[in-house]
Amino acid sequence: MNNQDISGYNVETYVRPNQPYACGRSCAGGTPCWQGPSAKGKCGGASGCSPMRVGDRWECQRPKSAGGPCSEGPLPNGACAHTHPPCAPRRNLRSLRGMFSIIGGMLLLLLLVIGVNPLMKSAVNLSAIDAGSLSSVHSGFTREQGCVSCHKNHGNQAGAWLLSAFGKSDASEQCVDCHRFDGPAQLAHNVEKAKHPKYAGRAMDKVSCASCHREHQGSEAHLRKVADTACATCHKPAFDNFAKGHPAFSPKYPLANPGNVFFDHAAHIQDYFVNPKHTKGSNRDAKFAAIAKSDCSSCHAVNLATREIKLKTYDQVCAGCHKSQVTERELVLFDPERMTVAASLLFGLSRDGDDEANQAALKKMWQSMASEGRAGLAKVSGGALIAGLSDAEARRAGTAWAKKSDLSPADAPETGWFTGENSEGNPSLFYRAGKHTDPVMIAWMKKLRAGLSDPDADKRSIAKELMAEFLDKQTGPGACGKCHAVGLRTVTAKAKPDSEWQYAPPAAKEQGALTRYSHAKHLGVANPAGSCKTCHQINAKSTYAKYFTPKAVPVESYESNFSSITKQTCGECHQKGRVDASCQVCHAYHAKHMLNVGSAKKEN
Amino acid sequence: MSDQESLRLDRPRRWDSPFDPAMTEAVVDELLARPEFSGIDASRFPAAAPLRGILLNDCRIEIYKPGDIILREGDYGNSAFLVLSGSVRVAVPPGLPRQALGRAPEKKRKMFDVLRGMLTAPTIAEARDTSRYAALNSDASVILSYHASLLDAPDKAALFGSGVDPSADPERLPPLVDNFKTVMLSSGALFGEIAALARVKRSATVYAETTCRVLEMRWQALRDIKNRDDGWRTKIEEVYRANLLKTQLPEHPLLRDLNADDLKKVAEQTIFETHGSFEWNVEFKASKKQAYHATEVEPQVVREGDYPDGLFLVIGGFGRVTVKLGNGERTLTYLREGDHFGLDELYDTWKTREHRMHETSLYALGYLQLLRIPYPALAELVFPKLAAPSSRLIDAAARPIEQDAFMEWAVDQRFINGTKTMLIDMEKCVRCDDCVVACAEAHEGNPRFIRQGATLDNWMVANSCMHCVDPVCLIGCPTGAIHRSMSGGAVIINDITCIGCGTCANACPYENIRVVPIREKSGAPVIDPSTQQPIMKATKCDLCSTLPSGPSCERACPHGALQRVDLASLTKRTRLEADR
Amino acid sequence: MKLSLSQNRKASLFVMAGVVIWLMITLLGWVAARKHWSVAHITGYALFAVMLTLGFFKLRKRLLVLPIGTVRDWMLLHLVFGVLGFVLFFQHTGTLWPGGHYEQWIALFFYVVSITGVIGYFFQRVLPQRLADLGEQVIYDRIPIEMASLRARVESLMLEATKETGSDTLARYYAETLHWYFDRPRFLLSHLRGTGRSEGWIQTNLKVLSRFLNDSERAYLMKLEEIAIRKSALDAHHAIQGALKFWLFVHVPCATLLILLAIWHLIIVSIYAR
Repeated sequence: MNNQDISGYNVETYVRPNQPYACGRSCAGGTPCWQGPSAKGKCGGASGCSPMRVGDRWECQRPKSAGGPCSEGPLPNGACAHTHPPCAPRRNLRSLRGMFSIIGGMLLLLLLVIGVNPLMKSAVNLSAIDAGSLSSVHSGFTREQGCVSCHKNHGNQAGAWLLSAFGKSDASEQCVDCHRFDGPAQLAHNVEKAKHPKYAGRAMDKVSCASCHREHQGSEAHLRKVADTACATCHKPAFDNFAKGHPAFSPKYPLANPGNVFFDHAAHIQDYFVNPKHTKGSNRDAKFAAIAKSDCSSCHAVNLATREIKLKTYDQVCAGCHKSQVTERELVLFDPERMTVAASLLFGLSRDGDDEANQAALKKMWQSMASEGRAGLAKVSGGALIAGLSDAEARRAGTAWAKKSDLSPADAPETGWFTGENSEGNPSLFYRAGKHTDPVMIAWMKKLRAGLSDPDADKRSIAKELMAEFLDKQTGPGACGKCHAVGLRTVTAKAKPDSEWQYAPPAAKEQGALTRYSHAKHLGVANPAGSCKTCHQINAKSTYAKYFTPKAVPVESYESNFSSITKQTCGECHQKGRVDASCQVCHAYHAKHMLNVGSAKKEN
Repeated sequence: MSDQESLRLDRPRRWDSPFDPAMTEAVVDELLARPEFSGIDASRFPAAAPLRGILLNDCRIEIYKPGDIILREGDYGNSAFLVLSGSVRVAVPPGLPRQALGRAPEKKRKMFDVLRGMLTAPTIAEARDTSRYAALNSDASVILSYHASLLDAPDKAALFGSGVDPSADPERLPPLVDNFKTVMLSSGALFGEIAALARVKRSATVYAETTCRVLEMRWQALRDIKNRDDGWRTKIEEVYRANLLKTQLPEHPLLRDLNADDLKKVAEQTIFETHGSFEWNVEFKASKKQAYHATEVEPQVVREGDYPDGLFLVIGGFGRVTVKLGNGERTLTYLREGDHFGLDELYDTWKTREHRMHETSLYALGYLQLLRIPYPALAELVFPKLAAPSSRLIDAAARPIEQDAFMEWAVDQRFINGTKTMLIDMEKCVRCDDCVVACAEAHEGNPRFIRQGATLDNWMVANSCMHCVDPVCLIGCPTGAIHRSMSGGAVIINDITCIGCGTCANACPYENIRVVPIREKSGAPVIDPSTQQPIMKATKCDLCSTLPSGPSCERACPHGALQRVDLASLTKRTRLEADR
Repeated sequence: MKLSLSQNRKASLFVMAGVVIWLMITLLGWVAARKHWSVAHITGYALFAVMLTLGFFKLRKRLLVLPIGTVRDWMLLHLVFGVLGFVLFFQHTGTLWPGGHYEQWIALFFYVVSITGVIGYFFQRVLPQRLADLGEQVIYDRIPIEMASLRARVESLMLEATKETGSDTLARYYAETLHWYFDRPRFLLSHLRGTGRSEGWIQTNLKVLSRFLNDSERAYLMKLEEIAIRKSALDAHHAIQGALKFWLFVHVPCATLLILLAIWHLIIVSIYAR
């Protein structure tokens, strides 16, 4: 029991794994010498002992632990008989491992700093800082200057370069050299203060270019594409499901603003184009009505559509039915029996005013027209208001009424000035508009509108009163008021010229500037004719017509003919698994991007 | 080696570093004139170690003031003391409260020093600062000369009584209060020899009552004088026995309930026995090479089936308890100081009035010191007050044999001697050598153990000093370089006073001490010019006792495979349940 | 036996701490993403701190005297942080293979270090048992010495056999074939995998040789077999202890280089990508 437990591999001397060198003989498989390697790694045991002279003999002095004095003894000259060539002490594993680490570290440093090409001009070997390829749009022009194009610190000397690790450096500051915006580049949405009504006036956060646009993602990287999460940092709560998470569209989206032209889609599509009462007749274009009742593109130029779908012209669309109305409703200038609306405007006299004065003024005019003809009238009205009035006609009217005699018979022309029986049967000097944009009618509207801002309060009130009659839907001359009443009433002096006659698209609100929608992309999906109704549906209960009454109605109460579009409609297609519903599909971040390169390059 | 300049240094001798350089021939004369020494026949001493030389070099005179603590109960010590003048008091058990015994401050190295040492360890094996050897003086001596005093105790009123000023009389300390029993010793009295000779802890505290002059004798001196002079030998042995009986019996758990009179009666009847040899390592090493059954060589104290004479109390050494199994003997347990043997059978005999024979055998594991209390004393004085033993030793024989395999093996190898045995679980050890490297870093680049040794199953007991309960390596040291540290009990070699004789290395039964040739810091070997032999020093594990953090090897193992285990106190009846 | 907290509970505690730290970092990263800060900076610095802690393990072993936790606890920390670092790496790069040339080197070293770490972990759990089962233990540095002494014993045995039996069959077979086996450690891969090729080789050669021998020679053959089996155990020690040492050869230097590369990466990112 006892001796079987003794380990066969007894060790006599300490094993020293902390010493870097081990005797080479032991590594080669011999017995290690008792001296061991020196600290520097040289063999220590080439000689077995150092013999001592005792009397006249040399004695072996090998210690007991190494076997005691050898039997051969030293050589006669005092050298040890047991010499052997020095071994090659080997490093032990621990110190070898340490050497690997040190050498590896030094190699690494070398590679980092010098790299493959020792003549590199930059502070450091480029491949040691290579963060990936630039996108194809940036890699071309930066090739010559290199990293310094964007990273200003790259060009520093070694010390400054290292120290710049502790300073501020934003590559984004170089982006604006080429990329300009309509506002400060580093503030959110490129505006200083928020324009959204909900956050109006709030100062915008600083957002650097690099926080959303990441370079060095490879040459195929699409820099403009930014993940929705970037938007979500400010626009909260964040969502990833458009249909559920996106805030609801505004209640009147997209037609919150009324135009200047009254056109009741509901009435037309459901009644006027359909009801034989309105479609039958030589002055109605029944064929057009038959198409237009279901095909939106008959009036709207869908094939050129972006966000706005332009209308086709009056002549293409409206004239078919409304042409006759323009001509039929005459502008009665003078009526010998009473002061007409037009005369009232011309003389600046109210119809409800002094009757005698009115009559006197009128009589004076007849006499003037009788004696001077057209010129007499022109003295008061100016040429534009009576354009097309012949001299003979003017004398005819003047002479007849000055003497209170009957007018000479004449044939009434279809359009133009005529003195005779108007459609109501009253003899008068009246005008029949020839076409939609009749200059005389336009001149009269202008005069009316100028009267509205007359310094004289009386004249203003007269003009206001007259305006109402002029623009009456049913009876207004030239039928201008039928469609253009609101425009004529409301457009200010500061507006662009002729804007009172234009349809005027809804004013783009600030939100809208960052939102984009393209009809063209959507209309190609199904048949262009019918697909409008996918989103634009007639709202039968709409109070559209109410806004276009003569009384001033606040814009907020305007209701479009069409039901507002909800996000659910968009969400039918723009959802996970179907069409891309990321923020950038519909929204832009930068209002207006201008590249400051090439011919567009401006100094600073 | 021949291409390195070697340092010439004379080989150190036993008395290069005297115990007390202030000892003069005049003092030696005075000592020799005293009755204690005058009767010694100086001619019986060898020329290499004459009596005068022993007194001159291995002894010193120390003056103690009243209240100074000379020895503390529980400390380890390497000296015996002879009172030359004045009186001292021995505080017999239960002894003085611990707070009153100021301990000598432990000199641990500062953290910064340790760190610096670890990080700048030389790469030369066994490099030494030889300038330290050149200036051998008493600073190199082992004993810390620091006197704690009872007068520094925090609660003096508890010791001396309230209202008593202990420093009132500069020449004499007032007596302690009645609950502390003390015995006075005066001129000519010898004390402290048990701990010095038997390598055990001090059994009682001794303090100076008056100003006294005391001769402190290193135990080597005591050993040499005892070996050469019959008078001293008898005296020492008598005192030894008497003190043992006075201190050991009252402490024993079986006899605690006895009153003083009964104890005295028991003491009078108790017989003192020793079995085996004090220097048991010699035959143990020889037997390892030859014997088949350990019990064939171990001295048998009691044989299974014998008539029980009395209750054995173990007061020193180790014993093996066996029972016959097949053609061999199965070890049930081992006994050490504080254990007893034979209680079950004797108690049964007393209870049932029928004779019960010994159910187990008892062998001395090297050296066994016993007190035997005969049956009549037990029957009359002890058993009536004793509760019945709750378990029987023989019940252990029913356990499966395999469960006790580790204990059996540890007993055979005498590993049960170790208080800090290095036990390595070879299934956890990844052979990374971090433990050896850590040991080396803590000792200036020199590891102090080898990660190799006897193995059972997955347990290896590596060749690292076990800091034994009974350190036989101390026996032959001529200078006292190898000694027990005062507190703690670690066995340490003082590098400066070691003369490299190799006695301790040869004595260690477990081959845990290595004698190495030393070198200069530059790497040159240090040679004795007269013999051309390299200067040797003994080295071994010192439990990192100068470090603030404890043994480095245990701390360094990343997998918890290495542990310093107290096998001497391991639960003897269970197998080793390690944290696997 | 001396632990205040059982080792299993400590391991669970460390793992939980690791998970908590990871959650905190991830939470911080999530908050950063919502505020549109750079998440990569946060995960990057966290990863760097984790890597420094992992690397500090080696230094901690050298500064053993400092009371900053036992090496065993640090080993647990090293394991937990190793896994944490692996997870953080992917959170930081967002991809298995980064784009930049330089980052690819970092990734390569990272993978090498992590994979060798995992291999090392399994080595350390499995191989010591195999070593313990071999019976006699031997220190790796002493294997060449022990092998040399076995070789010497065998050679003197062959010489003695020739002298005593008068026949040189054994010596001749040794010179032709067997010396190959005793020269150097052999069948290392087999010993590492635990297959018994060396035993097979020994038995085959013994069978081959045995038919030419008489009884006295066979006695020597038995002794030769004993020595050959001892040598086989030594080979197993060499192979398995070698594996236990050599995985660190890759792991530690690559880890050092990885930390240096990471420091460089930190500098570059601070200069170019603020």
